[in-house]
Amino acid sequence: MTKQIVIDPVTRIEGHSKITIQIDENGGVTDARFHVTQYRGFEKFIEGRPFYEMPGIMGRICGICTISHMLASAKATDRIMAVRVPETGHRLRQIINLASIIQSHALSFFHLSSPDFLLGMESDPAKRSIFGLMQMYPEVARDGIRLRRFGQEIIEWMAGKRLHPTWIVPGGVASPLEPEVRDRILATIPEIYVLLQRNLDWFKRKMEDYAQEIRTFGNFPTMFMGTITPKGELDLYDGHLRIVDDRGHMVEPSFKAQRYADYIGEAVEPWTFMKFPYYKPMGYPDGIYRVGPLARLNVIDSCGTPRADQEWAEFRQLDRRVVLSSFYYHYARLIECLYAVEKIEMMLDDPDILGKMVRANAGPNSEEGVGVTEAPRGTLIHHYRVDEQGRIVWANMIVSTTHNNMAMNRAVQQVAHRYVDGNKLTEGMLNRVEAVIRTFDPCLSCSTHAQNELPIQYELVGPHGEKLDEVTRG
Amino acid sequence: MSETRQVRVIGFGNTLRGDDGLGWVAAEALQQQTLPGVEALTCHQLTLDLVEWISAARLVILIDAEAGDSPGQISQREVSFDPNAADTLHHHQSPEGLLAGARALYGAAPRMVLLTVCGKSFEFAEGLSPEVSAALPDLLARIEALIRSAA
Repeated sequence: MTKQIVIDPVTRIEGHSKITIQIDENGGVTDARFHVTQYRGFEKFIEGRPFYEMPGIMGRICGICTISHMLASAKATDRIMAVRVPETGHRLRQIINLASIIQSHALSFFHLSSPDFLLGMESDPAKRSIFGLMQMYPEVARDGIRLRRFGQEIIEWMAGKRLHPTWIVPGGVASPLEPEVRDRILATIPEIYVLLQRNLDWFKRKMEDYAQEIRTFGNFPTMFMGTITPKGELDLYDGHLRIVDDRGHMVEPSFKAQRYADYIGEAVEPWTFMKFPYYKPMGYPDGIYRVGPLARLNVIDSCGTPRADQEWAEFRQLDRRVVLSSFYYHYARLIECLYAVEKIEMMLDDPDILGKMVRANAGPNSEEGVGVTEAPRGTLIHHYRVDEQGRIVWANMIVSTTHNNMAMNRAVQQVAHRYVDGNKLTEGMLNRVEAVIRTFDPCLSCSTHAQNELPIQYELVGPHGEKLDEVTRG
Repeated sequence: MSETRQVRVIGFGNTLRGDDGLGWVAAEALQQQTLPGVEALTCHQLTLDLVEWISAARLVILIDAEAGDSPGQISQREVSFDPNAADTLHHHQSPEGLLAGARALYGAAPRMVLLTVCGKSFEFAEGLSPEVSAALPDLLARIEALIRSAA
C-alpha cells in the first residue's frame, strides 16, 4: 500500500509550507512536492488605492525583504508618474537595496543554513540551529549577528527604522543622506570585509565535506535569469534582464525588465498557493529557470568590483560552464555580500552622494507602470495599472521565490529520490529534503499570489501513480 | 550607540493592540529623560539581534504587558540563566533565551529584570486603558529604582 511522508512545517525558512513524499509498496520514492500553505492576496486588496500609497503598502508584504518590495513598487510608481529619479536619489535607493540584501543573506546563510554545514545534516534537530551554533561555533554565530546588524543599521540610519520605513517614495527617496550617516557606515566597512573573508574561507573548505549534497541538491539543467548592467556586470537594482541556458549560452542576452510579460508566463497548480513562472517561448513546464544569487552569478560577465570578482572567478571554476548545483546558492550569497559592501563603499566615497535633489514629484501621467529590482532571492516584479485619478485598477507581482517554484519542486524530488527510504526514515534523510529548500532561501509570505484558484487539492496516489482519491478544500 | 552604557531597557509589545503597547510607552518615557548611563529601545518582540546589544550592559530591564485579572498590577521577576532556554524555531525569543545568547556568544552575564503590567484590553486599539495608564508612574519609579541600584 502506498504511503505518504509529510514534513510539516518546513523549518528554518521564511513562511509556511510543507513537503509531501509519495512512497511505493517497496519504500521507494515515486514523487515529492513542495506545497505553500499560506495565502496573502495583496494584488487584490490594493485595488482602488492611490498609486502613491503603493511603496508603503507593498513593503508590508514581508518583514525580511521590505526594502525590496518598496523599491520595486516605487519603481513602478516612478513610471506611472513618468519621471526620472534624480541621480542621488537613484544611488541612495541602490545603497539601501544592497544593505537589505546583506541583512537577508546574513539571515539565510548564518542563522538558517550554517547549522546544517557546521553541525551536520544528521545532527540532533533540537541543537541544529543558530543556538546550537552558539555553543559549538560562537564566532560564526557572532559574525552572523554582526553582518545582519550591519545591513539593518544602514537601513535604520538612512531610512529612520529597520522595518517598514517610509523613506522610499514614488519619485525617489524622502530625504538626502546626512554626512554623519555616510561617515558612520564607511567606518564600519573594514571590519565587514574581514568578517566576510573569514567566513568565505571556512565555507569554501567546508564545501569539500558536502560533495554528495552538491551532486544531488537541486543539481540539474535549467535556465538562469538575472539583472545586468550594460557592460554585463552584476546589478542588483536596475538594468536589463538576461537569461542563459544550462551551458551558459545566451537565451535572451538582454531585454527590458518592463517587458517581462513577453518572456515570462505564469502557470498555477491546484496543490499550492504559489504560482509557477516559466520562460514563455518554451512553455510550461519546459521553460524552467532559476533566479537569485546562483542565477545572478551565472548570467553575468563579471561582478564589477575587485574583491567580488576575485571570488567570482573561483566560483565559476566549480562547474564546466555554469554552476548548476543549488547547494552553491550559499556560496553565491557570501560573494554577493562582498559585492554589496564594495558597491556601498564606492557609492559613499562619491561626494555627490550627499546631493540634496533626491525626489521627483508628479501626479499620474501614465496608466501603467512596471518596477523590477533584484531582491535577495531573485528578480522581483511589481506591475500596476491605474485609472485617470491614479487609483490602482489592476496589479500583478512575480516575487523572487516564485520564479524558483519549479526548480524547488524538482530539487525536492531529486533529494527525496537520493536520500529517502520509505522503509526506514532517519533525521538526516528528512533534514536533507528541508535543506535543499533552504538553499533557495524561499520567502513564502511574499510569494503566495495564486488567486481564484484558492481551493487546495489533496490527492491519494497509488503505487503506480494512479489517483485513488481526491479531496478539495476551500 | 555608545558601548559604555550600563543599563539597557527594552520596552516591547504591539502598540496597535491596546495595553500591549505599554512597553513602548514606558521605554519612550525613559528615552525622554535621557538618564546618564541608560539606553532604552522599543521593539515588537525579543529577537536574537538584541543579544549583542544587551551583552554590553550591567543591568537589562525588560518591560512588557501581560494578560491577567488585575489590570494595572505590576509584577517584577529576575530572569535566571538557563543555557537551554534559546528558542530554536520561532521568530521571537524569551527573556531567558536572550540571556542564554548573551552568555554563549559574548560571555556576558548581565542582571536581567522583567517588569510586567497586567493589561485590561488587548483588542485592536491605540493607547492604554485607564488602569494601565494609572500604573505608569509606579512602573517608572520602579525602573528608576532599579537603575539607581545598578549605579
